[in-house]
Amino acid sequence: MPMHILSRLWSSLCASSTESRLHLGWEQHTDATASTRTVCTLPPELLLYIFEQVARLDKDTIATCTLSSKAWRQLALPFFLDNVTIRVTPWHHRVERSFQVLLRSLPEHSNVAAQVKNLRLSETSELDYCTLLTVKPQLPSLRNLTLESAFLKTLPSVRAASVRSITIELVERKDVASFCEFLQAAGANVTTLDIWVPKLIEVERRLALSGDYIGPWSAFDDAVKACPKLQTVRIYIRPYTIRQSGEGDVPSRSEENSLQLFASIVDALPPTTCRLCVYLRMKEIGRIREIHMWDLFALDALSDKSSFPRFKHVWIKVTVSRWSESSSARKAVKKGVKACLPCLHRNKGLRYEWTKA
Amino acid sequence: MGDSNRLTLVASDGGKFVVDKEVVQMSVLLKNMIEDLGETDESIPIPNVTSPVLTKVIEFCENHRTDAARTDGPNVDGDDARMRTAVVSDWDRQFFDVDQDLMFEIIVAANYLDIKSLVDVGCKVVADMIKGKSPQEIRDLFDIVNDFSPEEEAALRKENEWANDR
Repeated sequence: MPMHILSRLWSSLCASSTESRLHLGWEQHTDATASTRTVCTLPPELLLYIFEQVARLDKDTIATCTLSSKAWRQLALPFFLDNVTIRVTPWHHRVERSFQVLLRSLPEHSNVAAQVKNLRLSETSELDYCTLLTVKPQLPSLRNLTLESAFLKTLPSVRAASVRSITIELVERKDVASFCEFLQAAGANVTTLDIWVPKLIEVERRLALSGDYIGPWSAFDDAVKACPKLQTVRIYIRPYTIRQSGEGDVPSRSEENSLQLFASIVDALPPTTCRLCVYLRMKEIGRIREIHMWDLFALDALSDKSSFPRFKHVWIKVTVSRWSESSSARKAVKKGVKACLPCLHRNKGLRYEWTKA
Repeated sequence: MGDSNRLTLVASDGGKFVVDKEVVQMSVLLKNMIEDLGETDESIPIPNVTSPVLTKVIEFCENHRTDAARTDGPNVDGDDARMRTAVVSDWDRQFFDVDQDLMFEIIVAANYLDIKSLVDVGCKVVADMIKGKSPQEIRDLFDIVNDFSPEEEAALRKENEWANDR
């Protein structure tokens, strides 16, 4: 080997080892008789990787790591606080966690509260959006806000929020109006909306059985315009059941209403919204094997290429149970979808994602 | 030497190790060196790794040489997915059944030599050692000094409980 290359190799190795010493704290390990290596002398980058592994194994143990020493707390805390979810529900088994308790405890735990990314609010009869938004400055990292059976009362007069994702169940027509106003106030950075409307649909069905039904979504047009970053909207309308044979209910007038409602929402979506999913849930009760398909008829609105050209593909997200893990069961699901939605199958690309229940 | 498929590595204490090139190339650092150098008969110094540690590192690479062939290529996503899902094998667990000093030296050497799979396995083994232990048990295990006052620790416990809401 030419000498100049060898010297380059040597200086390169020495340079990288010097760099490593600086970066990794190798000062005491430059020869074979160096002092003992312990976990305390590990380079921070390796400790971080270890904590990442611990966090994947067990959330309680990463909490324990944060209590071992000040140095460990500094490194392990981000993993412990990653994806922190605060649930507000009066019947929580570990700590009292009503909304009022949350409000009182936030200042006391401001350091941790600053890292909270998810807030789930259940049984929120004591809550209105004005109160909710007073919490927001104390939860600056909040990204996902889930409102379960929320009572939508008064409305905030606030500017853009940090919230990226909102899940909400709408039960009454006035909920839709309130929610749309909420979006207009706080939807500037929202990218994902999960909206559950099965109960609303039942209520609306009772209220208006005429074919002219368009749902309460006229307010939605303006609401989504206030969400310029919106990319994904998942609307859970109603379950549709098919048997394993692939046979299903015959579409009725009420399903057409669902379709109209769905189409009116889709029409209102901004151009950045380009991914839609059908959710299938499979379950096994005794010998009866059913596939619950959500929004099927509504989604059939997409089968018209010219109406929705930007939705080139429709994702079929299937939550599988034990019986449906086999390839033959998956084929049966695809066959069922094809049978139920021939137009969609013909005109759009269907892509499947399988997740275990 | 004369065998173009083998290289000599020299540990920091002068120990020499003749190793297959394929095995050496599991180290991204050494692989890049070799590519820069082309064909060579010269030995490669590893200035920060002692002979006992290098012996173990080579043992690991020898055992995992076929894995390297399977995961070759710059597939970052695939590599990441592998690291997320892989369980530590019995062989790897046995491999790290050494005293703590040597275990951490191996992990540090693997990090320096940029052998991802060895860093990965080593950190997972340490994570397994930590799993399920109390703060005091962790301190005892790794000889960590508790620099929290009792009041500080109590306050932090309360804070953790507040956040660990599942």
